[in-house]
Amino acid sequence: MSVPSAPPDRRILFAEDDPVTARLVIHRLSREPGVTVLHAADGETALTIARQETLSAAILDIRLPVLDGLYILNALRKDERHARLPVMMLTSLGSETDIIRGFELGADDYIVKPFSPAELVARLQRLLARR
Amino acid sequence: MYLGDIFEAGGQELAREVADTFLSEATRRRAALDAAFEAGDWSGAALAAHSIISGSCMLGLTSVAEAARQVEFMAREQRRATKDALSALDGTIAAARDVLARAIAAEAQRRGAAR
Repeated sequence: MSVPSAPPDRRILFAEDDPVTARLVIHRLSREPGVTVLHAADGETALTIARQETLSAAILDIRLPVLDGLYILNALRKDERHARLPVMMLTSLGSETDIIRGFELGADDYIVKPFSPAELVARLQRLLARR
Repeated sequence: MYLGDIFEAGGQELAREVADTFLSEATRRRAALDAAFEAGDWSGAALAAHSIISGSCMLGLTSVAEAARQVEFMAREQRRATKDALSALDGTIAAARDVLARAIAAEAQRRGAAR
């Protein structure tokens, strides 16, 4: 008899200051087995979490209070522990220059608001599978 | 991500919750906008306007998003938003309460009828 294996423990840093977007994404991510969402509503908190936790991936809104998502991305890439961490950026329509900057800094993917949280999870799973 | 998808994900309860969250947050951010413009805090004003865009985009409130985008644009150019731009934003936020209530009721009815 085979014993079903436990889902992997995946800790996802999610930096988003808009409570509507945050609620919808957390609601969807929480349905994924083994996923723990570490939510930060500003960039400074996100960076603190990144320094304290072992992460599986990060989802970063670009426009955040205190420190923006691009700053956090840059800090992650300079940190040996997170240099290869899968990172997805979130942005609103009309901020394409932010996306280009994000790729230059080492983002793995991006998604534009409005988006479907189901699509975000599918993209995230693809990034995690590549790890 | 519009109401139909939100119903799909979490039913009418989630739709009502995020609608209420958006309305209270938009009101709070709108007050923050005035304070930031008053203080000449351009980045704070731009961030407050941008936050309104995020929530409104996710709920399909394109009029609110467009009005907030105009205000954000002015803040990023380091100038006060015009009265017209702020009035337009106020008008769309005020209308959003009714728009969301009607959209939620319509979606609930559609789903009830489809059963």
